[in-house]
Amino acid sequence: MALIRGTLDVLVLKTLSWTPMHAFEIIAWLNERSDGQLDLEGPAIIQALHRMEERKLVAGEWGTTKNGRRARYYRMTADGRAYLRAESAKLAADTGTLLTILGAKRG
Amino acid sequence: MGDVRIRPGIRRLFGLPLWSSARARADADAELDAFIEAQAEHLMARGVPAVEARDQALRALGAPLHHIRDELHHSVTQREDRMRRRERIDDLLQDLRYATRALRRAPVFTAVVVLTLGVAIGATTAIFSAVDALILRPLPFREPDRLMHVSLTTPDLPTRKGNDDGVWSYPKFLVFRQTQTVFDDLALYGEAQFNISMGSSSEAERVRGEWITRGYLPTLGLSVGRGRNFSAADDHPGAPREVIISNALWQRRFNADPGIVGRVVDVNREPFTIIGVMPRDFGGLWGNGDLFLPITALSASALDQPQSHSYEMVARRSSRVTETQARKAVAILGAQIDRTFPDKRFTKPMGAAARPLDDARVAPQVRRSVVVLFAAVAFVLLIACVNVANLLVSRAESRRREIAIRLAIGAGRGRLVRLLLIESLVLAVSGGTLGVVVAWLGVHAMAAANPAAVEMRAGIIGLGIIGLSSIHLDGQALAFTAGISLSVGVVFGLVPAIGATKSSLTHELKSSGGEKGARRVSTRWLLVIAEVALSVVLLAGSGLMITSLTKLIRIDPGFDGTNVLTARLALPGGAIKRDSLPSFHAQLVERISSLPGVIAVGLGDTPPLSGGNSYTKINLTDRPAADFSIMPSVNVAWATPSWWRNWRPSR
Repeated sequence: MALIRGTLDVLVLKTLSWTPMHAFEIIAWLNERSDGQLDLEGPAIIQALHRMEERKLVAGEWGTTKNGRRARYYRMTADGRAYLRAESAKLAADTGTLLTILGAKRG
Repeated sequence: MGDVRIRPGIRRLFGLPLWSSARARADADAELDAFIEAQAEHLMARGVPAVEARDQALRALGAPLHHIRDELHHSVTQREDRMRRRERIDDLLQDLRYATRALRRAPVFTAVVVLTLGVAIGATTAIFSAVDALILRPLPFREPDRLMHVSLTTPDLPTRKGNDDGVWSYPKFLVFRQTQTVFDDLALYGEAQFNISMGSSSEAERVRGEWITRGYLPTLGLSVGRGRNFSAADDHPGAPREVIISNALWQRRFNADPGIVGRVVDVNREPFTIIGVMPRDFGGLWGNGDLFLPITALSASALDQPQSHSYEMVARRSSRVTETQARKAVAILGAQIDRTFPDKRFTKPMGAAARPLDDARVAPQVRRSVVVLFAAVAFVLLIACVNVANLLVSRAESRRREIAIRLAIGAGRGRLVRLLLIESLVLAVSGGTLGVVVAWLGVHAMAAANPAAVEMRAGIIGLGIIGLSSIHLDGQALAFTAGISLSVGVVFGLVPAIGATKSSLTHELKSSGGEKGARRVSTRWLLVIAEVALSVVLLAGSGLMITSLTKLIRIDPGFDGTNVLTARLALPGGAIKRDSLPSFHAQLVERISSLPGVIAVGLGDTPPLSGGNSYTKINLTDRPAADFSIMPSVNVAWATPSWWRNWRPSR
């Protein structure tokens, strides 16, 4: 399933709203939630994380995984939470409009 | 602990190096590697053999690894650049906010500094605009440095001093034009006034203009805006009557009629065909001219008198000839012309001289007063700067303890200097902004002063094209203001800022605050001494100037000019027959006298303070006739008997 532009950031933020994660955890979580419908690639996620780090929506920090490996963990900031709330409301509204139009009957 | 991430702001605070781009790229690589590793482990946990797991993880990236690395590097580098830039701007904005806050807490100090700078910078800029327009700006013609003003020179007489800036007669000009080889083009021009009307029904109007020869526009490197220039066919006596009008007249009187060329206008009651329109903003070298007629349209009697001098000459030096060569050639030609047309009045020969047209642009008196004025205003600016510097220094003094504490808790000296510098720049830029307003007012006042009457009579303005009305605020003047403001801000902000941050911490923190180092006090004393010295010079100068002005105003002209009006009367040639002129004049006086409110009317050719009149040579009948060159000359003023009733003695 192709993603509508701008939705990847919201999805990543949604993932991080539970707990700080590193890039692979995020992608694994998203793939699991979508039953593999979302065909996400690692580099895209990393770029999205960097982008949002610059906008101060997330904050990255090096940490250690439970297997004892180094990984960069991202946590959602307060700005990120506000952004997620606003953007998901907007997405829901947009999708609703889209569905209304697509489901409209003649007459 | 090399992996610990510290925010740039904190790094800066502790003096740690900022993230380098290389460091950021290495970080991104590590993150990508960790991702691939995690993916491989995830696959192995699902039973994929270790050998294949890494390959599968790499394939899942969707692109070759080095591509992805390059892409990541690129975006990371750009992000680092962006963040660094933003941080620098944030710092600057923070300093700016701090500076304005600090200044707002000291409103009196701020107001005094801004007002002082504003007035001084404004006055300097206004006068600079005048200097720029009257002296610096090149003449608005093609290759203006090749343009020369050529004059006839007369030797000293026993009764009259010689003149090295004399005008030409048409016959002498013709000889000069035929024999000279150093100029590409040359022309005569002479100021005149004309009455114009369009047919008998339309309103007549008096306009300024010039008599010119056909080389006028080519010499200046100009060409007509529309129509054509005078040609050799128009430039001889008896040629068709033709005229070129100014762009201003074309707009004003003819509504910018596109079919203007070929229309007929009555000039001094004679029909002239309009053959062209001058380029925009060109009103002749005399300035504000609306009508340009070929000299050859004058009557033959005005043209064939070699000793009837009334026209200026402008010439374009050939590019093969240097200025010195041109001057020499003109001097030789001058002697030649004197041999062709010897003048009995002089025992020594007349000559000719050339000088750059640029030297003739402003009369020496005007040039001198503008320069003196500029120097005086520059002095005022200097005093204002010293004053402001003094204020800034004492402000920095009073903040020594604050600065010492900031240094003690780890603020960088550079950052503190920058902070103080930004504060003085904010002051200087505000002063400069106020200065632009002051300058605008000053320039408008100067440009509105219209000494046209003086300029025509006494000829003290030089080329009319560089009149006071050409003074305006332009990019150059504004750049001048900006330059002054910024240098005032930097120089007079940097010195106290460096001084204030230099001292040893312990000394400042221990000192009671009232105690000051002897060296600092001496700096301030130097400033005060400089200021007093400058002020004394300026005060003395302006005092003298004011005395001269009051003396000038107090000079008694010998008459009471209250309620006296003057008007100029110009009758077009041939409008009234010579024989009927006396009765015309008598009728004129009578009809004006009968107007209500008129007490006295008189006609005369030399109103008081007009600066000149005609003169003639006389022979005393009871003595033998003298040689023409030593005959006494007397001034002649013509007037009607009633003329004197206008001039009551001054009270």
